[in-house]
Amino acid sequence: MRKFTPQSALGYIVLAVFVVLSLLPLWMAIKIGMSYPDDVFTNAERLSTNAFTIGNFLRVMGLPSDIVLTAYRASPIDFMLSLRNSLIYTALTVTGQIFFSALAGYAFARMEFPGRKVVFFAFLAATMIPGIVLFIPNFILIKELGLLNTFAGMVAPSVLMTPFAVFFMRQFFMSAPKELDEAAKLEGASPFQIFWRVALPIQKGPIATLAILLSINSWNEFFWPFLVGRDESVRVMAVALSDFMSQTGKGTPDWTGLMAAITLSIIPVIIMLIVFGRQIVESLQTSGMK
Amino acid sequence: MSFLKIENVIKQFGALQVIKGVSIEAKKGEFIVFVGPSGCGKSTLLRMIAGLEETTSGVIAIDGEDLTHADPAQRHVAMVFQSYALFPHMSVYDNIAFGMQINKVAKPEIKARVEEAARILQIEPLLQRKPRQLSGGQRQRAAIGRAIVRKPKIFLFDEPLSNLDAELRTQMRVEIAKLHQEIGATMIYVTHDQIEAMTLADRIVVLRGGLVEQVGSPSELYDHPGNLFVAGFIGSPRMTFLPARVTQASDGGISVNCANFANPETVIDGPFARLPRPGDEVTLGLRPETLRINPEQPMLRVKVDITENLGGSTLIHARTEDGHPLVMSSADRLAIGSGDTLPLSFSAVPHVFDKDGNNVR
Repeated sequence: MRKFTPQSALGYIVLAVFVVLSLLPLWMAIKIGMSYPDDVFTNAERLSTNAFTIGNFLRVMGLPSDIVLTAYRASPIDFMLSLRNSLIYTALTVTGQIFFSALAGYAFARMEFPGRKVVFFAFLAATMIPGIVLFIPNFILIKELGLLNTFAGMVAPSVLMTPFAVFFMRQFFMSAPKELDEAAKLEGASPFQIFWRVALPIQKGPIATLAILLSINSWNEFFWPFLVGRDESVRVMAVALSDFMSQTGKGTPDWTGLMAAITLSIIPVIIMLIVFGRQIVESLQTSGMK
Repeated sequence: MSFLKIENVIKQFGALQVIKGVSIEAKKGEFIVFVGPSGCGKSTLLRMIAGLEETTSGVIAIDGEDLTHADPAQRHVAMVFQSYALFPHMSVYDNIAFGMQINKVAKPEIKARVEEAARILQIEPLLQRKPRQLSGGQRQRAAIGRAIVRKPKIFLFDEPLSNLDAELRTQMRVEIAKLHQEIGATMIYVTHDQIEAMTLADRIVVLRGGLVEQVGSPSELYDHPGNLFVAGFIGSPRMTFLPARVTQASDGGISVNCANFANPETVIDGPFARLPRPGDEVTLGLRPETLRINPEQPMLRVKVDITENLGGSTLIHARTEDGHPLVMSSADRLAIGSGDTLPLSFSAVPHVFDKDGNNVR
């Protein structure tokens, strides 16, 4: 056991305060999600509520619930459909980005071609461009291509690769022993066979880390899907939640439903962090990034 | 006819020339060792034969076919790397089978050939293991297995034993020699360890600074080193070098004056290929085992720095009167301490090198 000193006690107190402060909004969301609609404002300033219910959670998932909203409230979102869309959007983006970024990272790390450095630095420079600058040209392009409200249009700008992922993979490929590639080459493997059968499988750890980081990013991505994926058939969770909020209609927003849906939507991310959290931190430490 | 022919090859990295025009030939089944200090270009030359480094100019031909610019896979060579380069995510079986799987060899044949290689190398029980579950020596064998199954025209070894401990290195050295006898393949072996070179090679190629210093059998290099560098590099412990001046010269022999010798005129028997002239500065080379303790007719006196008892023999590290280091080996266990003065004579004719460092014989 480590010794418990006044200094360390102070440290723990400070940390505890920050933990409470960061968890407070999450708790408020959960609390409101578990409140009856009529109780929301009567207990607004309290950390607890009169009576807890899971009705709102059941309701947003389209399951039978004891809470029935009166007609003046907005129509609820199709939670399961948004969940499916978010999963499709995330899976497409993440698998695409990993595959193509690994290919590009491998090329930058191992292949000799004219202009390799220039192209790579151009890639790095792209990380300096704020994403928001690209939204309008990308939107116009996707619109002209007739890909609005399709998954293809939603994933198009990011499915091939992102500078961060390319850089990340390049660093790991560079640190792998070159003799492995050479041994495979001597055995008659083509450049793609070397990549696919030797270079890629030994990078399982970094790939898993990248997958997690990209999944969290994609899952939380809001603005681009909001621009090009408004239709309910492709609308992802983050967008659906915002629509839910803005559907004030003539009455009050459906706060309890909204908070229940938000709580549900962060569950996949939390699970991922609990399961892979250590690996994310370790990989980021070894790659010396962020 | 030579099986491997390297003709005047040059390798340039930008402005830096690392191989400066090397020509070597090897017969089929020959065991050639490239030896030299770090940075002499021996690994680069091996990689050029493998096709892993592009050859700037010159010709590399294997079995009569010019393969200077061919892809590594087209050269029918197999290479064992210093780091073994086993694929860490594959079992030993898959590592050995990799090349055949890539080249779509039928599965039963792959199995037969992997098992045959495993039998030769005695790694049959290890085939399902991953490389990380193997010891250094076992990894080495697996890497050799991957080379054997391809039935290459030439085996290339790039310092394959340098990651092993001393005992295992000796053991694997013997096994590589046995393997060469058993499969009779042409082998090119790179090492900086002159003992490996001496014990394994049919012929040794001594390289320095991207140039061949000398090519010859281990005995040739040991008995007739072409220059000071080869003389100093081949042989352990090193040859002792002493400066001297020629006083008289005839075909029958030369007389030299060496500050360290008891006699101001020491005669060294000929014949000489290039007879030094009186007044020439020369370097005399004495192998450790040619020096004897001789109180009756001492030729030089040395002061002992330290003695090493190797069990079966003794190494004596000493200094001449003017401070030149000298090593002597003796088959006897000698009771000599630091600071003792020893009277020595030499039992073989010393090597004589001219002022450019070339052997005059």
